[in-house]
Amino acid sequence: MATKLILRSNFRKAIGAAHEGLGDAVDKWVEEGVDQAKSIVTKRESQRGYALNTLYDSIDGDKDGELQAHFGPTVWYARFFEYGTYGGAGIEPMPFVRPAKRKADTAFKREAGTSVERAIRRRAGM
Amino acid sequence: MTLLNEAAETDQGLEDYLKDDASLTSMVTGIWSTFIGRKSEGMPIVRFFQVETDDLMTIMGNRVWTEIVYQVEAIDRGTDTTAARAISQRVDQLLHLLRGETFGHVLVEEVYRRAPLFRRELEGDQPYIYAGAEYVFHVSTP
Repeated sequence: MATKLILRSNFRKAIGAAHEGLGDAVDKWVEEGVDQAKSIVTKRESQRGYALNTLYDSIDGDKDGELQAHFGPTVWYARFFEYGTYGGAGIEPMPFVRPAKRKADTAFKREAGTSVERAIRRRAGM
Repeated sequence: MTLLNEAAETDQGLEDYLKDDASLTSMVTGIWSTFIGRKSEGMPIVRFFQVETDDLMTIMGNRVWTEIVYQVEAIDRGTDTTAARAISQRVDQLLHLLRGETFGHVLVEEVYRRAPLFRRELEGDQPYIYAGAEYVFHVSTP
Protein backbone atom coordinates (compact mmCIF):
# COMPACT_ATOMS: atom_id res chain seq x y z
CA MET A 1 0.00 0.00 0.00
CA ALA A 2 1.48 3.33 -1.06
CA THR A 3 0.93 6.80 0.22
CA LYS A 4 1.51 10.00 -1.62
CA LEU A 5 3.30 13.26 -1.02
CA ILE A 6 2.43 16.15 -3.29
CA LEU A 7 4.09 19.51 -2.81
CA ARG A 8 3.23 22.69 -4.55
CA SER A 9 6.45 24.70 -4.52
CA ASN A 10 6.80 28.43 -5.08
CA PHE A 11 10.56 28.39 -4.52
CA ARG A 12 11.29 28.96 -8.20
CA LYS A 13 9.32 32.15 -7.99
CA ALA A 14 11.24 33.10 -4.86
CA ILE A 15 14.54 33.20 -6.73
CA GLY A 16 13.19 35.75 -9.20
CA ALA A 17 11.56 37.62 -6.38
CA ALA A 18 14.85 37.95 -4.49
CA HIS A 19 16.35 39.44 -7.60
CA GLU A 20 13.48 41.84 -7.95
CA GLY A 21 13.72 42.81 -4.29
CA LEU A 22 17.42 43.57 -4.59
CA GLY A 23 16.63 45.67 -7.65
CA ASP A 24 14.28 47.75 -5.50
CA ALA A 25 17.08 48.17 -2.95
CA VAL A 26 19.42 49.36 -5.71
CA ASP A 27 16.83 52.00 -6.63
CA LYS A 28 16.84 53.08 -3.01
CA TRP A 29 20.66 53.26 -3.02
CA VAL A 30 20.62 55.66 -5.97
CA GLU A 31 17.85 57.80 -4.51
CA GLU A 32 19.51 58.05 -1.10
CA GLY A 33 22.95 58.72 -2.59
CA VAL A 34 21.73 61.60 -4.74
CA ASP A 35 19.70 63.10 -1.88
CA GLN A 36 22.57 62.90 0.58
CA ALA A 37 25.17 64.27 -1.84
CA LYS A 38 22.93 67.23 -2.66
CA SER A 39 22.20 67.80 1.00
CA ILE A 40 25.91 67.92 1.88
CA VAL A 41 26.70 70.29 -0.98
CA THR A 42 23.88 72.61 0.11
CA LYS A 43 25.14 72.65 3.68
CA ARG A 44 28.80 73.16 2.79
CA GLU A 45 28.29 75.83 0.15
CA SER A 46 26.34 77.97 2.57
CA GLN A 47 29.01 77.47 5.25
CA ARG A 48 31.74 78.58 2.89
CA GLY A 49 29.93 81.13 0.82
CA TYR A 50 30.29 79.19 -2.42
CA ALA A 51 27.69 79.15 -5.19
CA LEU A 52 27.74 75.59 -6.42
CA ASN A 53 24.44 75.51 -8.29
CA THR A 54 25.87 73.83 -11.38
CA LEU A 55 27.65 71.21 -9.32
CA TYR A 56 24.48 70.63 -7.31
CA ASP A 57 22.32 70.29 -10.42
CA SER A 58 24.78 67.86 -11.98
CA ILE A 59 24.43 65.34 -9.14
CA ASP A 60 22.38 62.49 -10.48
CA GLY A 61 22.29 58.73 -10.55
CA ASP A 62 20.84 55.84 -12.47
CA LYS A 63 20.82 52.10 -12.81
CA ASP A 64 23.42 50.67 -15.21
CA GLY A 65 21.87 47.23 -15.12
CA GLU A 66 19.49 45.21 -13.03
CA LEU A 67 21.84 45.17 -10.05
CA GLN A 68 24.29 47.93 -10.95
CA ALA A 69 23.97 51.63 -10.44
CA HIS A 70 25.92 54.83 -9.99
CA PHE A 71 25.44 58.31 -8.59
CA GLY A 72 27.56 61.42 -8.40
CA PRO A 73 28.27 64.76 -10.01
CA THR A 74 29.00 65.04 -13.72
CA VAL A 75 30.79 68.40 -13.81
CA TRP A 76 34.51 67.96 -14.42
CA TYR A 77 35.66 70.08 -11.50
CA ALA A 78 33.70 68.18 -8.84
CA ARG A 79 36.81 66.28 -7.77
CA PHE A 80 38.46 69.53 -6.71
CA PHE A 81 35.77 69.92 -4.05
CA GLU A 82 35.67 66.24 -3.10
CA TYR A 83 39.45 66.00 -2.64
CA GLY A 84 40.44 69.65 -2.25
CA THR A 85 43.26 71.44 -4.06
CA TYR A 86 46.50 72.94 -2.87
CA GLY A 87 47.40 75.03 -5.91
CA GLY A 88 45.18 77.14 -8.10
CA ALA A 89 42.26 78.53 -6.17
CA GLY A 90 43.17 76.47 -3.10
CA ILE A 91 39.92 74.68 -2.36
CA GLU A 92 39.33 73.23 1.07
CA PRO A 93 38.25 69.60 0.74
CA MET A 94 34.52 69.09 1.20
CA PRO A 95 33.85 65.39 0.63
CA PHE A 96 30.24 64.88 -0.43
CA VAL A 97 30.23 61.75 -2.60
CA ARG A 98 31.96 59.44 -0.14
CA PRO A 99 29.84 60.34 2.90
CA ALA A 100 26.74 60.11 0.70
CA LYS A 101 27.77 56.62 -0.40
CA ARG A 102 28.03 55.53 3.22
CA LYS A 103 24.47 56.69 3.87
CA ALA A 104 23.32 55.07 0.64
CA ASP A 105 24.95 51.77 1.61
CA THR A 106 23.12 51.83 4.94
CA ALA A 107 19.84 52.61 3.17
CA PHE A 108 20.49 49.74 0.75
CA LYS A 109 20.96 47.22 3.56
CA ARG A 110 17.85 48.44 5.34
CA GLU A 111 15.80 48.36 2.14
CA ALA A 112 17.10 44.99 0.97
CA GLY A 113 15.88 43.33 4.15
CA THR A 114 12.30 44.33 3.54
CA SER A 115 12.13 44.59 -0.24
CA VAL A 116 13.29 41.01 -0.84
CA GLU A 117 10.70 39.63 1.55
CA ARG A 118 8.04 41.89 0.07
CA ALA A 119 8.83 40.71 -3.46
CA ILE A 120 8.83 37.05 -2.43
CA ARG A 121 5.46 37.41 -0.79
CA ARG A 122 4.11 39.23 -3.82
CA ARG A 123 5.34 36.63 -6.31
CA ALA A 124 4.39 33.66 -4.19
CA GLY A 125 0.94 35.10 -3.73
CA MET A 126 1.27 35.08 0.03
CA MET B 1 32.49 55.65 29.18
CA THR B 2 34.47 58.83 28.80
CA LEU B 3 32.45 61.57 27.22
CA LEU B 4 34.52 63.25 24.57
CA ASN B 5 34.68 63.94 20.90
CA GLU B 6 36.61 61.03 19.42
CA ALA B 7 36.94 62.74 16.04
CA ALA B 8 38.56 65.83 17.55
CA GLU B 9 40.87 63.80 19.80
CA THR B 10 41.94 61.57 16.93
CA ASP B 11 42.55 64.53 14.65
CA GLN B 12 44.89 66.19 17.12
CA GLY B 13 46.53 62.89 18.03
CA LEU B 14 47.20 62.06 14.41
CA GLU B 15 48.79 65.41 13.74
CA ASP B 16 51.07 65.07 16.79
CA TYR B 17 51.90 61.47 15.88
CA LEU B 18 52.96 62.29 12.33
CA LYS B 19 54.93 65.35 13.44
CA ASP B 20 56.79 63.24 15.99
CA ASP B 21 58.35 61.08 13.31
CA ALA B 22 61.78 62.46 12.43
CA SER B 23 61.97 60.46 9.23
CA LEU B 24 58.71 61.89 7.92
CA THR B 25 59.38 65.46 9.00
CA SER B 26 62.76 65.37 7.27
CA MET B 27 60.99 64.60 4.00
CA VAL B 28 58.42 67.39 4.10
CA THR B 29 58.15 71.10 4.82
CA GLY B 30 54.96 70.76 6.80
CA ILE B 31 52.22 68.46 8.08
CA TRP B 32 48.77 69.96 8.06
CA SER B 33 45.41 68.89 9.36
CA THR B 34 43.83 72.20 8.54
CA PHE B 35 43.16 73.97 5.30
CA ILE B 36 46.11 76.16 4.43
CA GLY B 37 44.82 77.65 1.23
CA ARG B 38 47.00 78.68 -1.60
CA LYS B 39 50.59 78.91 -0.47
CA SER B 40 53.83 79.59 -2.19
CA GLU B 41 55.93 78.05 0.55
CA GLY B 42 58.06 74.96 0.12
CA MET B 43 56.84 71.59 -0.95
CA PRO B 44 56.25 68.73 -0.45
CA ILE B 45 53.78 68.60 2.41
CA VAL B 46 51.49 66.10 4.08
CA ARG B 47 47.85 67.03 4.39
CA PHE B 48 45.09 65.03 6.02
CA PHE B 49 41.40 65.56 6.62
CA GLN B 50 38.34 63.66 7.75
CA VAL B 51 36.24 62.25 4.95
CA GLU B 52 33.46 60.74 7.07
CA THR B 53 32.73 59.67 10.62
CA ASP B 54 30.27 57.27 12.14
CA ASP B 55 29.51 55.69 15.50
CA LEU B 56 29.69 52.07 14.42
CA MET B 57 28.19 50.59 17.53
CA THR B 58 26.25 52.01 20.43
CA ILE B 59 24.90 49.88 23.26
CA MET B 60 22.52 51.33 25.83
CA GLY B 61 23.62 54.80 24.83
CA ASN B 62 27.30 53.97 25.23
CA ARG B 63 29.52 54.35 22.23
CA VAL B 64 31.58 51.23 21.68
CA TRP B 65 33.32 51.98 18.43
CA THR B 66 33.74 55.08 16.33
CA GLU B 67 34.88 54.93 12.73
CA ILE B 68 36.74 57.85 11.23
CA VAL B 69 37.89 57.82 7.62
CA TYR B 70 40.86 60.02 6.80
CA GLN B 71 42.33 61.08 3.53
CA VAL B 72 46.06 61.35 4.11
CA GLU B 73 48.29 62.36 1.24
CA ALA B 74 51.60 63.80 0.22
CA ILE B 75 51.37 66.83 -2.04
CA ASP B 76 54.19 67.95 -4.26
CA ARG B 77 54.55 70.52 -7.00
CA GLY B 78 55.99 69.44 -10.35
CA THR B 79 55.90 66.25 -12.33
CA ASP B 80 58.45 64.09 -10.50
CA THR B 81 56.59 61.65 -8.27
CA THR B 82 59.65 60.38 -6.36
CA ALA B 83 59.20 62.46 -3.21
CA ALA B 84 55.42 62.10 -3.05
CA ARG B 85 55.65 58.34 -3.38
CA ALA B 86 58.34 58.05 -0.71
CA ILE B 87 56.36 60.22 1.69
CA SER B 88 53.11 58.34 1.16
CA GLN B 89 54.98 55.09 1.78
CA ARG B 90 56.34 56.40 5.08
CA VAL B 91 52.90 57.64 6.10
CA ASP B 92 51.47 54.23 5.30
CA GLN B 93 54.07 52.54 7.50
CA LEU B 94 53.39 54.92 10.37
CA LEU B 95 49.64 54.57 10.22
CA HIS B 96 49.82 50.80 10.30
CA LEU B 97 51.89 51.03 13.50
CA LEU B 98 49.12 52.97 15.23
CA ARG B 99 47.14 49.95 16.36
CA GLY B 100 46.92 49.90 20.15
CA GLU B 101 48.22 53.46 20.56
CA THR B 102 46.27 56.05 22.51
CA PHE B 103 45.50 59.63 21.60
CA GLY B 104 44.72 61.10 24.99
CA HIS B 105 41.68 59.12 26.13
CA VAL B 106 41.09 57.58 22.73
CA LEU B 107 42.36 54.08 21.97
CA VAL B 108 43.16 53.35 18.33
CA GLU B 109 41.76 49.85 17.88
CA GLU B 110 42.88 49.48 14.29
CA VAL B 111 43.85 51.38 11.19
CA TYR B 112 43.61 50.02 7.69
CA ARG B 113 43.79 51.42 4.21
CA ARG B 114 40.50 51.58 2.36
CA ALA B 115 41.74 52.83 -0.98
CA PRO B 116 44.96 54.21 -2.43
CA LEU B 117 44.79 57.63 -4.06
CA PHE B 118 46.98 59.16 -6.71
CA ARG B 119 46.21 62.24 -8.78
CA ARG B 120 48.07 64.57 -11.08
CA GLU B 121 46.35 67.92 -11.32
CA LEU B 122 47.03 71.14 -13.15
CA GLU B 123 46.10 73.89 -10.73
CA GLY B 124 46.72 77.52 -11.61
CA ASP B 125 49.08 76.51 -14.45
CA GLN B 126 51.20 74.46 -12.05
CA PRO B 127 51.30 70.67 -11.98
CA TYR B 128 50.63 69.08 -8.61
CA ILE B 129 50.98 65.50 -7.45
CA TYR B 130 48.79 63.95 -4.77
CA ALA B 131 49.80 60.54 -3.45
CA GLY B 132 48.19 58.94 -0.44
CA ALA B 133 45.20 56.93 0.62
CA GLU B 134 41.97 56.75 2.54
CA TYR B 135 42.51 55.22 5.96
CA VAL B 136 39.83 53.83 8.23
CA PHE B 137 40.38 54.41 11.95
CA HIS B 138 38.42 52.42 14.49
CA VAL B 139 38.74 54.10 17.86
CA SER B 140 37.14 53.64 21.25
CA THR B 141 37.15 55.30 24.63
CA PRO B 142 38.04 52.64 27.19
